[in-house]
Amino acid sequence: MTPDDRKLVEDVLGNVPGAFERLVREYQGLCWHIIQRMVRQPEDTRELCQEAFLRVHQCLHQYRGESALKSWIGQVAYSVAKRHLEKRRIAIADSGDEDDGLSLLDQVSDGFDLESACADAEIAAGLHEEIEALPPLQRTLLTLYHLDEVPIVEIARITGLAEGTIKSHLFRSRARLRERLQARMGAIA
Amino acid sequence: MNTPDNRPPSGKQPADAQRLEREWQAQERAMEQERRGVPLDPADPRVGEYRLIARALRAPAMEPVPFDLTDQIVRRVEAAQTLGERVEGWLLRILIAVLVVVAVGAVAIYGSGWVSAFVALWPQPSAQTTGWAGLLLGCLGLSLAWQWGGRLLRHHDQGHPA
Repeated sequence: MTPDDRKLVEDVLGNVPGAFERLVREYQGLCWHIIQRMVRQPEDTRELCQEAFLRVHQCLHQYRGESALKSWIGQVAYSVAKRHLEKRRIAIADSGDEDDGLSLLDQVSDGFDLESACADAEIAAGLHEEIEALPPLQRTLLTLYHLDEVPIVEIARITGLAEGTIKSHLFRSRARLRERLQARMGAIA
Repeated sequence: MNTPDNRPPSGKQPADAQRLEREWQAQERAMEQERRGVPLDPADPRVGEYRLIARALRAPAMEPVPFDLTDQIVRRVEAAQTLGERVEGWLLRILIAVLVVVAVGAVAIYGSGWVSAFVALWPQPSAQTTGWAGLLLGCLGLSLAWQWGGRLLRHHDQGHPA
């Protein structure tokens, strides 16, 4: 726990005016990304974000500072979103993700017109569609790693998954996206 | 790691492991290059493809954080806190009311028995004890009357200055 985090936690627990608002402003982006990547619906995301921070407020006295405050709050947001998906019986990970990624690599080639792909807005839109089509867990892991720049060790704390499992998900998801990117390029050509 | 597979490597050919490792390194390099914003290298199409993916992941088609989200969250937490405090207050009042009712009921049912029991416990004084107790009470009364009288006189003097 950083000294800033410690001060913030103490202020919130001491009911210092504006302290909880500061905490929300600091970490709402992370919570929003995690929850929206998991559940996708904006209204559900808004509701679950509020629920996550309500739990943070109720349970902050249990935070012992063993991990970064960011990870602890991310963990709360992840568990709220996961429980929401479980209630609705939505699978969070793809059950067919047990291969080691070699079969995906067999489907990609290195002959690729990079320049035209970079300039093509259709390709970018297609990639966003492919990302949206990934299972909730893979989408969330990719977002945490690439957008929020959370290290794998911290993602492991947030999700409760082993680091190897997270790397495996990241690897396969990115390999799959590469394969889909090439398929789209082939279709456009 | 650096192999991206979390399963034991038994049964995997070394060539396959190296292939996976190369692919993982290309993914990681692409992410780093995209973060630093270095120009694309057309000579490495694999990293180039992963850079397109990293770029899309860094600019996701997501709803932005609503501008009023902080206020909504703070209001909801405050409301929940107030509600909790109100419920706690009401529960306390109900508990006190129940205790009072139980106490009154117990006194009504068992009170007469308690009075006779207390009277039985009261010591029966002898004539000598009564005499000494009377003397003590008399002294105490005299002392209090003296104090009360003095206070009354002082108060009277303050009310009518010379």
